Amino acid sequence: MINYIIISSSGKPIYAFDNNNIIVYSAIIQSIVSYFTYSTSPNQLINSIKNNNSFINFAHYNPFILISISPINHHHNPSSLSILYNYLISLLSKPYIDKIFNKYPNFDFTKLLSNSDILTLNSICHDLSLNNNPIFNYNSLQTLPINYKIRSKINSKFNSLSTSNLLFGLITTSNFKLISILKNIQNSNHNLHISDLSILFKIISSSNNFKLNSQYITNETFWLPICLPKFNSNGHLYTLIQFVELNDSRYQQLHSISANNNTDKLLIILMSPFKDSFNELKKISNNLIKSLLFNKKIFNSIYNPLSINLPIPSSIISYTIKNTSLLQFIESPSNSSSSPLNFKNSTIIIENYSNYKLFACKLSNYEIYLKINSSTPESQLLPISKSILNYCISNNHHLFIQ
Amino acid sequence: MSQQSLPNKPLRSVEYKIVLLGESSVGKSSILERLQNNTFNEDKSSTIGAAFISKKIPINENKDLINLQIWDTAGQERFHNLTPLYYRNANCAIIVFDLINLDSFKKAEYWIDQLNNYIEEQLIGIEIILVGNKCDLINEGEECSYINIINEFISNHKEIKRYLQTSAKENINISKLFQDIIDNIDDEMFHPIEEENSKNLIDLKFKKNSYNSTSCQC
Repeated sequence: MINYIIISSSGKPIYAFDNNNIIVYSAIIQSIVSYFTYSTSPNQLINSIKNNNSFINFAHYNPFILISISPINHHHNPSSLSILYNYLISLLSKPYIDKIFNKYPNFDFTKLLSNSDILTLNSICHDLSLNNNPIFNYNSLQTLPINYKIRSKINSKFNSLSTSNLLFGLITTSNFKLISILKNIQNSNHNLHISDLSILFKIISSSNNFKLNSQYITNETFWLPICLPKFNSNGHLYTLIQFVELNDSRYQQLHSISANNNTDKLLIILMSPFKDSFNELKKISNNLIKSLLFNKKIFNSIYNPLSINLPIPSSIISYTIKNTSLLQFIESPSNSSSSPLNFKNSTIIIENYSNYKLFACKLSNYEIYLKINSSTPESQLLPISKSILNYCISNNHHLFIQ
Repeated sequence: MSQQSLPNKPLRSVEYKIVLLGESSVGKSSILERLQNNTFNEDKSSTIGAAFISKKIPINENKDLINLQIWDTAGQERFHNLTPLYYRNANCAIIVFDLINLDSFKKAEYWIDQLNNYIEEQLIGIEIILVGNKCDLINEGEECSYINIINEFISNHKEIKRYLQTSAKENINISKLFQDIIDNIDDEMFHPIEEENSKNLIDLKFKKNSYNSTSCQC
């Protein structure tokens, strides 16, 4: 287990994943960071400390100091501290936070954190600690495989409903498998970043605020101001969030399809730079939902998505395949996301564990990650990967969003 | 909530906008959860941003249709600059405070002042209802420890139309709160529904699991 600690630059405790001794830690961390800040040359800040048992990683993003303390052999996500920092920025925006701390360097930041925020921090740290969030691990988004003609239909419907105040839009499943994405700005420099979306998804999923797992069907629509630090750390985007239940016998009757639990809910996310554009976005969302629910082909393709029939032997326990040019991935249903393998300068990695092996390779625009039985001969792994590659190339337009 | 189906052809309808305001953790979302699902979640996380709920309520033997449009706002200070968006054009503001937390009552006073300023500027009418929630935490036979402050405030603020003590947890007075609002909607606010609009009504709101309705007729 990794511990994550956040303090302010002046040493005020803000958050600790393992809350024990945070006050003691805060004072020590602040002293160490200050020592290096003030007694060495300006660009020589402390990055890490290593001893026999643990590895301590530091990040000083003024006005916050973030550290992680991990066991020495633990796979550590190198982006973990910047993910936590970006989450703090997403709450309030960089100028707002700077303004507070410039005025009150000793400001107690915990006053601005609600219990929902703490739940989200806990959930992010939990994912980072166990490496079990594929979006963090692979820095890419998971897609829902859909026939590309149907996906084009969804995309064009989405586009036709768009208005000038809608900047970005996403349709995903309730577990954030991407169905369609809408970018409504001409400026190619302004993009939605994976790390920004991963924060938004964590906010939605980690508290019960958005009723993602409610047993009752809710017709609530949420309006959330959020700063997306990679998109623009200086301001907010106003985000409409709406879930749509699919497991309803009326739709099954309407479309004459059988009950199935593959896709339970849809999630509509619409973003605008304008805080008073809720009604406009709500109208788009309502029309979009109607067009998704009442079109048989579209409904069926989302409710019963394409199954991925990879040509793999039974010795493959699970797989993840990342399209590196689109930053999207698919994975096996039974995936227990394991530690991301770090390619560094190599193109093939094999790691042996007691009951299984992890194999990863880079082929063309794909990264293929396999968890395999220990008994599988290594000589088979590359041929298997090549047949996976061929499958992905020939089905690329169904598997990934172009 | 009883689950009445929409009338085939309601003749009149009204859009009635309600906003819930108040300090963090006073129970605004829990009041709405009781209204919507007749449930209470002890572990409810604090609201971030705001939630919009639309609820269609047929009345007068289904001849009239009330479309309640409710904004549930976050009590946390960092969302306060957005709050005027939600009470803009509201017909009714429910100001909620916690009967065992005097600070939350001070915040209720703040929101009533904000609303009064807005009403004065815009020369509009917003019905203000003051709600003291968590009455289940007051011992039987006792009063809220700062009842005198509440009473004095109410007597000095004639714009407060009603004051109710509620408990979302124990389902006390939640149905009364909304039934009173519905009963007091001015008849003049209803307008005839055009034939075409009436045909186009699609009700996508329904419950997934059944539960026993014990609350109001909405």
